[in-house]
Amino acid sequence: LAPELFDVDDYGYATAAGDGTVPAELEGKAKLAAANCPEFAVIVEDEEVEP
Amino acid sequence: VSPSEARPPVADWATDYDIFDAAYVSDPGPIWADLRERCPIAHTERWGGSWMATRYDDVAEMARLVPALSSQEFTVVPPVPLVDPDTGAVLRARPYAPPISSDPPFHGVARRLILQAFAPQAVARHEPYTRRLAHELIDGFVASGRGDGAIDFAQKIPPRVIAHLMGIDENRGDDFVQWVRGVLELGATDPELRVATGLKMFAFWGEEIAKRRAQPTDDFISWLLEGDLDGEPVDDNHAMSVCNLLLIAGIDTTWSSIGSALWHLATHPDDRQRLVDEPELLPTAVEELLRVYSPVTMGRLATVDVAVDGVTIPAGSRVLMNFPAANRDPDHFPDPDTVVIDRAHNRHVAFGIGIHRCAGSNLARMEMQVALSVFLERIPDFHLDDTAPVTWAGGQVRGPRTLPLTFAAAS
Repeated sequence: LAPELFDVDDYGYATAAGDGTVPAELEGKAKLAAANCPEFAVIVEDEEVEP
Repeated sequence: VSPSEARPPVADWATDYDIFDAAYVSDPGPIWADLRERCPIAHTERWGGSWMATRYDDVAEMARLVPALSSQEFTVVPPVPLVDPDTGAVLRARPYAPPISSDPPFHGVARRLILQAFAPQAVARHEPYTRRLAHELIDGFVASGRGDGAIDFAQKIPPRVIAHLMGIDENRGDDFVQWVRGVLELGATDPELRVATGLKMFAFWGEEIAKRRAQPTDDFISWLLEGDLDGEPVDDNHAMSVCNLLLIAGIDTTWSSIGSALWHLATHPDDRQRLVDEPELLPTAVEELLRVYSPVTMGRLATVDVAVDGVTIPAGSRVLMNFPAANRDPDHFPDPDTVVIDRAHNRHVAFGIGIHRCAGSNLARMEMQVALSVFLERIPDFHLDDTAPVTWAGGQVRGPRTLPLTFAAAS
């Protein structure tokens, strides 16, 4: 769904790429992943960003 | 009793459902809608007796009731012992197919043994073969302007792809189809055929494994034999059971999904045209087709009394997790019986849910996407051929078995 956001290990298990921070331009994709994961394993959290 | 034999008509689907009823198999949606509303955990005495859930939340809850709902029996009908015809010895009292037939803790061990072969990056290596195969199959009938989308196309892809992946003879694809139908589709209602086919398959795997024990090859089966089960080596019995599972699970599930998708596109020209015009929509469309035409219902065996949605299912009962019905639950999917080809929010459970979630989902998705994209590219405009019937199989796995199509002849 979003290879920019997830790493996949040799067993096919996905984890958040890097430190899990979602770049602004990929927010839509991240929310889509959260809405479609059958295991509810993807959670997108909002974070206050210093201006 | 075989499905072709006359059975008493269903009196009330809530208390007497028949998963092999012809009308149910060809169009189960209205029956699921009625049950979900009126009796979400239905019961029947037919086919050995079972309890069937049709609501998404109930099916999902059942999938997580491990091991109260045990996988030691996972078929929708009672198992038949596999008996050696010469010695009378019981080879298998019930199907042994780890990890699908396993409960924790062994389940996790058996699952890890095979997962790497089905990770996205491993599956991607089989895409060129799948694409070539899809083209070759279409070459075989495209000039005639007609073909059977199930028999000439959908049915021929998964057996060869899984054979290619495992390292067995792809040219025996049609035999594999007969075997899988013998143990699952036709075998579900014909125990003798199920046993005879099961014996044939075990003989085949015995030979394939013996060959590789003597002379390892560069393929899945040799890799499997080198694997370890929590520090223990993989013995012939385990290897044979895994190979058997992968062949069965890899074939009629995906062939059913490809066939159902083609049926939908043949009968819904707007969706078909949209995918021709916007091929980038295909991955989303595949998820929606998986949702509406989910092929697989899985069974469980209640090892204790289990209460779900206010119904107590007694210990010893067979339980059917109807994933296809769950995926049409209006509480989870607006306009659930309609294919919304670009549906973006689609938390479907076509591959199941929980620890037994389909290990081959990446392979199935790749096969569906390649098969549909090649078909639409070569034959963008096709329709049902009304001179011959569409027939459906159902029970454990639902999909079209004949799908006559017509189109403008091309090269």
